Amino acid sequence: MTHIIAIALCIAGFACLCAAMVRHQPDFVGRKLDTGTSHRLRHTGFSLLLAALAVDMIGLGAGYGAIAWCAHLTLGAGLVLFRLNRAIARRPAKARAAPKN
Amino acid sequence: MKDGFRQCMAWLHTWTGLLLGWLLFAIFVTGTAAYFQEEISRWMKPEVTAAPDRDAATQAAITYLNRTQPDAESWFISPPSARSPTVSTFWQPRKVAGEEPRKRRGRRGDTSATLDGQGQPVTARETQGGFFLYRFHFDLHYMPVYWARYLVGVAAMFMLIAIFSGIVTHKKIFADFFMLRFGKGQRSWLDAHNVTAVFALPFYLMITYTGLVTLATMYMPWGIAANYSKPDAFFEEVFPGRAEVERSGIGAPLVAVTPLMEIARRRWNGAEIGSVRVAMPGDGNSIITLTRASSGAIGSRGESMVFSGTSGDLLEKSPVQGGAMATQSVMIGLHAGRFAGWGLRWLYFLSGVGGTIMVGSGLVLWTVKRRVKLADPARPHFGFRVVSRMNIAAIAGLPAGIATYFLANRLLPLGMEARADWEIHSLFIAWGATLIWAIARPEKRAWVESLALAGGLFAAVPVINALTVPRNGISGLLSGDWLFVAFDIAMLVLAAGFGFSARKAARATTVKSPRRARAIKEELATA
Repeated sequence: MTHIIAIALCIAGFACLCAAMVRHQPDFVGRKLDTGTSHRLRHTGFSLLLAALAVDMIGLGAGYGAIAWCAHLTLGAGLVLFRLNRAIARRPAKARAAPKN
Repeated sequence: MKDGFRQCMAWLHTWTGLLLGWLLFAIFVTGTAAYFQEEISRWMKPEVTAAPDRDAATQAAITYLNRTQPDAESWFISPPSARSPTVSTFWQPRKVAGEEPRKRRGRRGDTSATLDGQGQPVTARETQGGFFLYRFHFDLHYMPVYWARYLVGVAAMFMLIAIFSGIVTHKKIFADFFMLRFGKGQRSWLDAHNVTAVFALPFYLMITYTGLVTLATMYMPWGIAANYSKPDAFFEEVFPGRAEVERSGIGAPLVAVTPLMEIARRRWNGAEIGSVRVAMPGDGNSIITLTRASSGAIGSRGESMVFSGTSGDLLEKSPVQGGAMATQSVMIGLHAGRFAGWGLRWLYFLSGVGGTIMVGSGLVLWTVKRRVKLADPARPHFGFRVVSRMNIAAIAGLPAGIATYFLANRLLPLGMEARADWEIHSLFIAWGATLIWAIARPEKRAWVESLALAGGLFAAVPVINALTVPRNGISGLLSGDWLFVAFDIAMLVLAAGFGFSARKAARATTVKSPRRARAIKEELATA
């Protein structure tokens, strides 16, 4: 159960962090967000990742929890990346070529 | 200076990554598989089904050893666990005065036995199972263990250098955190390499460093050499359980081990017993040492309790470990992940897969990056050809070899002479064949064919399994034999992965026109 909650928090955390990045906003959120919102999303994202650490450490003990947290971070980031790429793949080809960074 | 430094690091990253990259790839593949070594062993011994009671099985093993090896110097028993249904035992024959002590290495068949829950030798096909994959990831094969471990150590050191120089080289860890663009040639390979590297970075740092720690006394023997007359004196001091008492010469029966296991379990807050060692069985001074299972805590070296073998009295507990020893124990535990339950074990495995992809994509990246700079892409220079062919043999060949290893387990005749050895040989035959194929065929076709071969072989595993043994994924679904279900699914996922890669490789367009090459080069220069 601890694993599931922690993974959910990591996914939510990375989703916020991804949504906070201007470059990914058109794909991930559907539009550009203003600076204030991006900032708040970034803070929320990091807070959620820390919350996952707290959940892991309370649920699994400090040592085991810290190890599990690293693994949960990897999984969370991986799933968010997967979601982002699904969004990019579904976007029309024309729009895909446009953004340059 | 800043750019100069980064370029230096990029150079270091490129060459430390490449030079032993294929070996690292093999270490990552087999090491990752070793997270499931017990499960692989169980799959490779389908005859063994029962999951016996731990205590009863241990007692039965002692009864067996008492009957067959009453004169041994010591017995060593690994009770069955949740992951392994058999009792492994081995014994040390008593040294006879004037006789040369036996060589430690070599075949252990005559000093070991695998028993079932009733203390009867297990009748299962001869195989090394997952243990071979585990041993290969640091002992390699067909070469002296000593050299293999040094080679693996150098590779791990290179890996550590490659990780640190890679972190410096990768300028935008956070800005490019989620950057994975497909269908853009070199850029895509770089993205894939970066993403797999960054996502499990803590794991790679941990696994590489702790990997070196597991063999640290071998790689850095000077501390011991400077302080002890001989290395054995150091190990005697660090592992005091080894000190032996003299034989009394008076025969006395052993006490029952089950109550002692109960005492130890209570002392260790319910953690299981990982091994039972009986020194001088049958003698009046016999000693029983119980050691905590490494699954019970992160530290791999369990505490131990020493009992008198004749009275069952507690003689000593293991002393509290010093800081350095405890640190080493935890590091080894972190590396091997024996403490990990199912959830964490799968996450370990996935991180290992990530590492495999990271090393593999790095190797491919070396060729992709240089291909656009080739004077004549149709006729690359010798070094380029070596790397590109070795990449095929490593990345597609080793997985194909492992699939062959599984298939050989099912297809080789059961009564065959040196069967376990031939399973291993077949892995290397398949691997070697891929190398020859990679050299003989045009590069792109070799990629497609080798990847397809690996996929096909993995896909064949569930089929051949279903045709040769009664347990398989579908019957497992009905009877709750989850090991076989999971194994079949894992094989099919691997098959799909390699099949997908083969299709991608077949569709990939190699850069032919110089203009396109220049365009890519310019894009890269600005990126």
